[in-house]
Amino acid sequence: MIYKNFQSLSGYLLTTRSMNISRETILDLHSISFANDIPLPGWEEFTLETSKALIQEEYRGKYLYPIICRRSGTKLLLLSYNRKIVEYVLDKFKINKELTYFFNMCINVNSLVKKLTDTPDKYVLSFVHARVPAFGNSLRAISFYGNDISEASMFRENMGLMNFYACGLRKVVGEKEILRLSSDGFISFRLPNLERLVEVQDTITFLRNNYLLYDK
Amino acid sequence: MEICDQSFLVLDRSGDSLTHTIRIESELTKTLSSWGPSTRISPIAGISLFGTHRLSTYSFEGVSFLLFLGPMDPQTLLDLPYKKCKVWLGLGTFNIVINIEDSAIFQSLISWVKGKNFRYEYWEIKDGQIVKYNFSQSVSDDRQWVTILENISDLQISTEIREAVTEYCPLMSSAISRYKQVFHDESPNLKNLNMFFYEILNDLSKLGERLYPVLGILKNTSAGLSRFSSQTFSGITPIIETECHFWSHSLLGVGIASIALSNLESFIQNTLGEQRIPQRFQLYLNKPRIDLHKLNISDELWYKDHLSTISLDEINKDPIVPLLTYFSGRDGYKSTYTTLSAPLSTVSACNSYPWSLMTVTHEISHTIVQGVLGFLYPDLNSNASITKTWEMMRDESLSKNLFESIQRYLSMSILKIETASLAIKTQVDFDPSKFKFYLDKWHHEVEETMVHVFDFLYFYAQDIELYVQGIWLSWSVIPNIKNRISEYLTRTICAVLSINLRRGSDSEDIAMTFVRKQLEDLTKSKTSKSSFIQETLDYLDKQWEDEIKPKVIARKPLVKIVRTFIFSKEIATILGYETRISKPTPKYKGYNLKPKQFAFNSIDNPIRFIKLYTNSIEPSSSVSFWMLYILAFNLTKK
Repeated sequence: MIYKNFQSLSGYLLTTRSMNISRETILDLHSISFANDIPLPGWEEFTLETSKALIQEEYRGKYLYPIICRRSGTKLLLLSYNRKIVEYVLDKFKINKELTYFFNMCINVNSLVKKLTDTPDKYVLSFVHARVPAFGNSLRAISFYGNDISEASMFRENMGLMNFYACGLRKVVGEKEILRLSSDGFISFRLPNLERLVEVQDTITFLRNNYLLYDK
Repeated sequence: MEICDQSFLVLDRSGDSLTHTIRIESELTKTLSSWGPSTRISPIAGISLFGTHRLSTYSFEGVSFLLFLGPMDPQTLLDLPYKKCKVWLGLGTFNIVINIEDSAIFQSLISWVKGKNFRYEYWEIKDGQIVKYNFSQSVSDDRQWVTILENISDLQISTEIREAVTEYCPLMSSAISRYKQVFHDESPNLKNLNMFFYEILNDLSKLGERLYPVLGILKNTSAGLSRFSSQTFSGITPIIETECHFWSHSLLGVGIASIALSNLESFIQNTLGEQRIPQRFQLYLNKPRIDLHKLNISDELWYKDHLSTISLDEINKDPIVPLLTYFSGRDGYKSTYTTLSAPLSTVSACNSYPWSLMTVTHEISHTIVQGVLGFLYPDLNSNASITKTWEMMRDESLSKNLFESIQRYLSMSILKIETASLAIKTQVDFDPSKFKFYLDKWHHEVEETMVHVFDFLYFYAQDIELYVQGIWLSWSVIPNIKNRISEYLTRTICAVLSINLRRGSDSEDIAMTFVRKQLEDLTKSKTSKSSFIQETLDYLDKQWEDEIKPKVIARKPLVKIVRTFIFSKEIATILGYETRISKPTPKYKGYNLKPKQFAFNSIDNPIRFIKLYTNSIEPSSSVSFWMLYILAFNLTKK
């Protein structure tokens, strides 16, 4: 079971813009092979084989890395336990014009933060990172951490001076943070059990239904 | 997908023949040996993915097709149904150039192009000669724009304006009709500009003394339209019949560069412009007066966001007159009421500090500060206004509101500037009859000082290193710059002073130290400009105490006026808006774009992009080429 092997997963939300993604689309990259279906609809595990270490491991000659995917039409969630593994896979696709080209889905984090501040009925903010353009180099960026950040008046009163580009979400009641996401489609989350994958999927659906995802 | 070195597409007429020939040369020098009256060239860049990454001479032997597409985002090439063809990128509106040797593949590509509704032209070539050409048809033209131009042309107007209108109407007609042919759409900027002139000229009786200024604006606009049209729409269908007078781009024009410059102007218009700073400033008339002269610099009032307390709902939002953008070898960077030009050199050198597109912000800052000073500066044609301002200066209680308090403070600064210019150590008791003379004498300097502070606070986001390096390296290419070292130093230090006001009596010295350090760092870079910078440093060291520091102190009220009453943190946040970044990378601060590599990553903020990727002292035509493409195709649309 993957959740017994990894404490966290991270990667990107991607799109081909027009072409439906099949298992074969991923297997077109010959260094990837199918490993097994994860016992949740739509989730799969692949194995990436490389001859070079991607995360500075000791030399072994051959390196195997797990790739976790969730496909849906033209969209793909591509994950592994380290961002560099995912970026390696994407680079391999990009430099070969015969392969399908994947584009990062953009997440409108700025609007998401504002929406969850206005109507925190389903999700709340557990983490926010923002640029602060108004003060030059005197104050460039700011981060907030908490259980329900938008509840703090200090945050709401200064929102007009911030451009948000990364945030973390959790459900309104109880619950630990589900995931963190940033504007370039990067997603990361802890993996205590398989239920977390369902929560991540539900969050992405929430983004899509609220027009917070776009492909350019 | 990476762009590579550039070669030249060369169109020629073969001897006395009626046919044209086409070839590719790897260097400009090789195009000159056979240059004839009909020769035209344009640089085209190879692409690593499409077999054109090596510079080569290419004579199109045998039978093949040359397909021109555009304006098109190069990432669309990844969707090409057939990728084993040679592809280049150019800077004209037909920016994609594809060579196909197989007739069946060509037909298949044309079907795909038509299905996507892309604009195209193709040439059938035999042994380098163009034997046939064809192109996509224009969409139906609603021609509503014609009515307005006909109305302008029919206006009963005086002789002085008639000549200018006779020039303007066909120029605007040409620009609009060509724009529609290229973009299948109406240009909002051209449309708004046209309406602006129609409304002014339609009621000439109200112009009065403004007739000649309006005539000047009309002539400037016509000059701009002529260049805009020639640069953007040369190289449109049919390519053989158009010619761009930017001679190294005479075949395909520089439409992509034009789109890039226009996008930059539109971004600033839609962010900073829409905040209506001059009109909001004027509403300080409704705010209570403050004796600014007596207010201690540590008082929080100097650091409050006053402008944001005036809502946009309170002002009359007439449409903003758009700025028509174009490139000019003669005008360089210049702004007028309706136009904004950038030097021709930026097309191939905008990656470098001396030719950075950031200099556009200085020109736009002038437009906004002029708007503020149009309200704030005493009316030099009105003795009553000048007398009132003089009396307010002598008696603070005569200022009725915050606007007049600022006006008073500005006028006091002008007298201080006059004192500093005379190098007199004691305060002169000014003669009120000479006040108008001083106001007129220092108007330009007041505007320039305020523009520098405005530009530094808003566009350079208070980044001292970027600002000092950027402006001093851009000044280094101006002829006779050495005669202006003193005034440029004064203005630079004033700008940096705006974020050092709280340092008390040392603020001017600290601001100078910041500037000095940046200039010193510049001398360490091995370029031919460093002798000018070294001379500047020597001048600063020698003249700081006796000449420059008194000038800076005299201008300090102007710095405070801009910082406190014209700069707004909320507006700066809107202008600095950028959400398309990921984890901050040291070099490009979160952008995933790598120079010369195309990606579908969008950016919100062209100003931020230009600041981060203009990072070289030496120009690179390929990096500049790439930057123009990003500005043309990768900006998010609001």
